Amino acid sequence: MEATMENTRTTGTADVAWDHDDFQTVGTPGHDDPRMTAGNVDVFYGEKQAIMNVSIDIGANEVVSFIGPSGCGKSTFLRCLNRMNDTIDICRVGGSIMLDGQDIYDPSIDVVPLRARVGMVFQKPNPFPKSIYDNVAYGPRIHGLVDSKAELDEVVEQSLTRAGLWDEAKDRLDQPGTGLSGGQQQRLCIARAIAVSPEVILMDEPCSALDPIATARIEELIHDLSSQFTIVIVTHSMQQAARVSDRTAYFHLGRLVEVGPTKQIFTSPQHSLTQDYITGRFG
Amino acid sequence: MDLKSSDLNQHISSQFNEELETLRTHVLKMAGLVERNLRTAISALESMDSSAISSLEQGEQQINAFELVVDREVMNIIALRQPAAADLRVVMAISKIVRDLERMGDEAHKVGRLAGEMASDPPPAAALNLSVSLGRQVADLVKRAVDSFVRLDADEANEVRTDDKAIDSDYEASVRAMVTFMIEDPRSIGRVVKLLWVFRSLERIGDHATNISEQLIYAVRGKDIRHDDVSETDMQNLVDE
Amino acid sequence: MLSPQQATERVAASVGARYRRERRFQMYGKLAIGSALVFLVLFMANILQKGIPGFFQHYVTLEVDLDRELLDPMGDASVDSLFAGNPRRVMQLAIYEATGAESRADQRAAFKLVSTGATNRLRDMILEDPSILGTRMSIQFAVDDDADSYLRGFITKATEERRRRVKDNQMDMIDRLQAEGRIEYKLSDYIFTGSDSRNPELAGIKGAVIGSLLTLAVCLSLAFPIGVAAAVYLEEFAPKNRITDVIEVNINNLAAVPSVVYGILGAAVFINVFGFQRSWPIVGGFVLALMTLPTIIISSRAALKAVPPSIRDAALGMGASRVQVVTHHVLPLALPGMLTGTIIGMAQALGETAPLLMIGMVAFVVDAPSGIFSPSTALPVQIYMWADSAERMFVAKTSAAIIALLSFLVVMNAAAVVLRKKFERRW
Repeated sequence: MEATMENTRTTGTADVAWDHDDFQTVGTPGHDDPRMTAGNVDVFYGEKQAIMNVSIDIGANEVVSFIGPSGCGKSTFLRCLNRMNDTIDICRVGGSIMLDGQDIYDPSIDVVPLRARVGMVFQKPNPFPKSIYDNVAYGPRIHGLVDSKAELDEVVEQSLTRAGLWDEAKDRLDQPGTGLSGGQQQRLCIARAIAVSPEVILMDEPCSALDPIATARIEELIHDLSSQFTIVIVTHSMQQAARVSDRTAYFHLGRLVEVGPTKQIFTSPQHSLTQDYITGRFG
Repeated sequence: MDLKSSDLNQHISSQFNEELETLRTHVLKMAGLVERNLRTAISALESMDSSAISSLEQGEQQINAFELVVDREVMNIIALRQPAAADLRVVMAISKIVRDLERMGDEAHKVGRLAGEMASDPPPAAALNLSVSLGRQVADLVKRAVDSFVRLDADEANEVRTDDKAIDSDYEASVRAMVTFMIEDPRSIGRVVKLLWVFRSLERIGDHATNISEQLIYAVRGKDIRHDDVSETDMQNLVDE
Repeated sequence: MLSPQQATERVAASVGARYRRERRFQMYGKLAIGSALVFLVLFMANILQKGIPGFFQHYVTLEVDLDRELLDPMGDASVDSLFAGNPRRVMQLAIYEATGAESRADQRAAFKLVSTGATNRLRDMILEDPSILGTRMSIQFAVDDDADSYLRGFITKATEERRRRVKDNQMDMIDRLQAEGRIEYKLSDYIFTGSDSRNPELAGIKGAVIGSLLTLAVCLSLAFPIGVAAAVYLEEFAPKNRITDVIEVNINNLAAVPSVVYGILGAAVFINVFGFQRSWPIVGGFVLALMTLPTIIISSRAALKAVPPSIRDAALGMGASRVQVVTHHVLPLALPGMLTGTIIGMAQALGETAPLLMIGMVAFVVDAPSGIFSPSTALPVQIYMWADSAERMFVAKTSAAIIALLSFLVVMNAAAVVLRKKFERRW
């Protein structure tokens, strides 16, 4: 398929003059079985518009990666998906974001249960300065997911097992989570996120602070988890996006430029901006 | 989106630009050697001259060396630069193109060798003229294929594909003509069979030129146009089995 | 551009001057620290030298006939009976006997050698153990401050007799008592157990310490919860707008308001409007709480700011509500910092004099306060009052009280350091 849109760009730089009315995301932003659907999402920080008219489906049990140069809005958009942007006073979100057919920005939606359904893993491993056990047990406790200590023990064990941390952590559950290595801490954070059985897990550059081996383990974990969860991952590493995701979305200056199957994006992107970014011409 | 030749030197890493440029230069040099050998072989055929064989062998050795060099450079780029998208397609296309070039070199060498063997006992002039004419067409096709690679010109490459069909039908006509020669003059069978080998090699060279064009179109447009008898569904069914 | 070799030469040429500059800079620092240390040592040496004698005083041992008739006229050893008695006479007899004073002048002089607190001491002993009535026993009494001054060598015979408070005959008697081994120099009973008194030998810091502690207790129980709540709200919940900006600026300004202003405010509001009485620890506590609030709010906000945002993100991302984020994660992590700030604020309040003067805690209070609603004084005010007193022996008492105050401050600051070390978490 040929590129369907025109844009003006000066050679080799990221200066793009958008034609606001005509801009269309290239590729396949839709999905046959969407878990989340973002429609015409705009995000403003005060006067500044950070996200412009982004529409994309996140399919059930798929891994979608968001890539793009710094400041392109991919993290901002990710944080819209579980309303983490609510914590920023000057942030306004327009358009609709549906989770299982329900608009998460509807005034009747409570953000607390929403975040239990759409979990998040952050760039820097941020375990609570509590024991490993308490870290994982925190979510089930505050959301009242378990009735007994035995049940909680089971949830903790299962979550740690799924996060591939059980063998390393089972003998030191009462030790502080902050004493683990960086990669283990990040897996602990993933265990903590899946302990509340979310539908979607958002990951904001989860490996940017980790060494390659720890990164590979997290990537393997993402692959394993994708059978049960829908995962959206923001990453600066294009190779990582290529390795872990089923679909890749390329953001540029607040626009969703192109979405497509990862294999296609990395072999034959349709938009020149995508091409320039993934071949290392800027970004 | 289409790749333009200016795209290849706009990476942030100037070293990568240089590596890609070197790779392309080496392929072009190799293609130049192949073209030269082909022309030498054809003129040897035309003049029934056995003296060209040594220069052909020298060219063939250089072509083989270039294949090794380019293959190593391709490996290095894939390992160290992890090219993606158009870069990846160009590198992959090059790794296949050098294989085709090397085969073309082999075939040209074979034509030259056969010309040398026939020099002492030439085939009928009419038959020989047919082969020289096909050789010129093929040489022209190869030149255009190489040009399209130089300019990353997918349209030109497409024309090469079409024109190869003409060469194929000329080849078939020539083969029929050779059969007629053999029937008319059974004593010439030995010489004409050698000439048949020449036709065969020339036809193969045309096919390799087509392959190069197809690789180039993939590199430029990101679409695999080989085997139009295979549909996307066929491939999917094969994978799902 | 220089060639690497030229660059190396230039660097080598400039390096000496650079090192000299660095050494000079370090020396200024060392000098500054050195002079600060010298001042501190001088100050401490001066205080200790003057103050340590304040903890000690001279005692005289007298043989006392605990005459039943004189001491316990009603014969039931009750408080009423004892107060109706005449322990003064008993003391007179004992001192006359010890000094061998016979003339009226000598007897009057001799009686002045023993502290007026001696009669109270007798009464207390009998109250404690009535069986000693009617016996004769040797008892130690504090000597009068003038006699003490003579014993310490502050008053000498070199001064003209009519110009000094200890006369020749008294000096002779003291010398004699000392020769008999009846005089002893030891740790004072009164400094820790006594309250304020006109007589330096009977004056102690107990009343002031209790007053200070009560005041601080009121101050802490008021300032800590209010300060922490204000800090948490401002830092975690309040929207960032013009109003909160104004509040923040004002809190910072309040921290710089001279403390005496708080005293005037306290006098106006708590005493005139609320009808509390002057000198009550509760009023002092309120005023000091006002004064320490900005300190506590500012340090608590700093402690809250120091909690990494990633922890808040983590908790929010788990679906914790904002209150849960604060109570489960932010407060426990910020608490050591908040406590440190609070303790430092309390230490500041402990040493504060001016606002307490304004609300009348400068009163002369002889008894230790029984609660936050009884008149009281405070340690720094006590120091201020003693420093103002005429008697020679109050100089030592003042320094002794300063040592006590400094000890409290050191203990509080050490507690702050220990808290910080103990609860400081790495993340």
